[in-house]
Amino acid sequence: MNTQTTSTAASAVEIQGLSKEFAGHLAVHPLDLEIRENEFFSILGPSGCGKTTLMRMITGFETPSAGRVLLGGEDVTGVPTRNRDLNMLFQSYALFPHLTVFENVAFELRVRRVAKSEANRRTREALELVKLGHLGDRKPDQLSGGQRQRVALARAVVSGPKVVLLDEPLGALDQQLRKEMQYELKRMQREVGITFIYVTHDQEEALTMSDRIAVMSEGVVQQVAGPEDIYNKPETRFVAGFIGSCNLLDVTVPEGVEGDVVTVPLDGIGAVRGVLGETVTHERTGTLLLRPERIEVHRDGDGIEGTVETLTFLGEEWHLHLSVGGRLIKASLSSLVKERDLPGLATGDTLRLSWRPQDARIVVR
Amino acid sequence: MTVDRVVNGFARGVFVFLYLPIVAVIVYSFNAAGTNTRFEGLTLQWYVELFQDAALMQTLQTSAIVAVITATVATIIGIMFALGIARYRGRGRASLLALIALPLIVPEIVLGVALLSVFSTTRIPLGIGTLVLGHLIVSLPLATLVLMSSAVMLDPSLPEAATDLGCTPWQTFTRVYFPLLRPAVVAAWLLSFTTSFSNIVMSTFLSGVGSTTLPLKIYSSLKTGLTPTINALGALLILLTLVIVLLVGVTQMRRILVESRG
Repeated sequence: MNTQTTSTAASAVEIQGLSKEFAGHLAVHPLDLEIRENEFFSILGPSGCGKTTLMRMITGFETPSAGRVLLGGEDVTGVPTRNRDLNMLFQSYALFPHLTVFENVAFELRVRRVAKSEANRRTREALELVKLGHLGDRKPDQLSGGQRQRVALARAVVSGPKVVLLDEPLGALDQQLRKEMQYELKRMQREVGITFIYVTHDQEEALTMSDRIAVMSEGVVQQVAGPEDIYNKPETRFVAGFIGSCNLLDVTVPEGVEGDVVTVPLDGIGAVRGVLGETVTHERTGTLLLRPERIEVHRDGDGIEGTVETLTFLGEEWHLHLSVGGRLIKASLSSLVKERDLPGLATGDTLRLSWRPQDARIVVR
Repeated sequence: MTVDRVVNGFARGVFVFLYLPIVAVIVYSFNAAGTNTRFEGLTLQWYVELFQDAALMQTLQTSAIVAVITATVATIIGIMFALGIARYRGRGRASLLALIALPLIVPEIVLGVALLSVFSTTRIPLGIGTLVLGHLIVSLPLATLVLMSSAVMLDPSLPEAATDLGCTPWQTFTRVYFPLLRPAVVAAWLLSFTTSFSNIVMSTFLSGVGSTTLPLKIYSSLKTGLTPTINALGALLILLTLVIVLLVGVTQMRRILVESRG
């Protein structure tokens, strides 16, 4: 048994230089990742970004081209899936149609030859956890989508694995149920105290449920951080654009500047202030990231001049497209602020735009 | 209205045409007259003679043994083929499928001649073994196609889920694949069995001395005239088929009823 321990006890999964190549194309570039114990960790990215491949390498369904996977500090790279102390919740749920709900949940305990009374007790507990104790005799095709999802979750946690991986589990549910299940999943994760690795393309799901998120694009992990930092302090242009709505403005970053507030020239607009994400040693093209809700608009006063092109009502807020020096900038305005400060606002009006320097982040990737 | 009536009458005619010979066989198996041309009252004589006809019973035994082995082997290989191809998505899938179905298209007589020449040049003695091999060629594609139509319907995540939950490949088969494919397995086995049991062309080439099959025996007895014992045998086979169909049918019906409940 290979038990090279290179990590602290507090990491549930550790990924070291893991990569996957399909026919000369790198689906997952070599990456390192540490997922802590009892963490709700999301891998977020658009389809084809490599998140599914990464997940399948952790489960063992896919053999990595290079690198190692450590589970609880133990190298499991060469260990077959059935001997890895983790379970998966499949996108299709993959419930066994010939077995009842109870038999589905008890499946792993029976395969692993857990004593019958013990297996039955734990199965009942798992069914109680997902609030389906009364449906044990049903077959999967007699359940609704949401109930199937719960059965699949009960089946995944019943043996008390170290890690549960969830592959876009809410994809097949309708909007209302998705919201409900988001909170349910989070509640159950806390209750069972198992590390959840949640793979999704839905940024809202990732933001609401996760302790930390890894954003992936084209086989590369762009950023790993908590939901707030992912949203407010994106480190790359991709992260900013993929999560939420963001103005992405091309800027040239002069060399030598670092850290605090810098002033960069913006074509057609002039010098703007922002914070630089990292030290730049050579002059580079970068992107100024500015969230629409961080822009303040006034009738007059300081700021850049812009003309209202479109004005869209969305209930709790208004979305504005403003033409600024030939560029289109998105801004949003709460309904309260618009009514109070900008009564009678209409397209064609000229407004002043301003923002705090710390809300404009400049990144070079 | 008249069209309906014509269609109705035609449908009835088809049923009469399908089932009249079967009814006739059963009726004549109790015919006291020694020929199929007139009816002279009831008797069980032919059934008694049937079981006393050692030669005929011998061919029945040969046919049954060959059919059971053929059906079992064809079903086992068919399961492997079906599961393999259902999961295989790479290149050459279509040609592989065509190769499996090919024996259904090639005239059986060509296959029979080809096999006979293979066996005679390799000096393999004709007998039950060669019969099984020949019958396998015609029943394997059928079994595979029946099983494959079920196998491709399975969610490809199911075997992964089983592996994830601790199953070895063999446990995945016994706990997931086999229960889900069971109706298809039964259908494939029965289809292979009847294909083998009623085969004449392959058997003509591949049966050896002492391994004459029942259809061959019946066919050759045409020359001496059909005896009523053949009717009795036919009636028994029909009865057996009916029992199997009912048993399978009832279990299938129960399955469907259970699954549609709730």
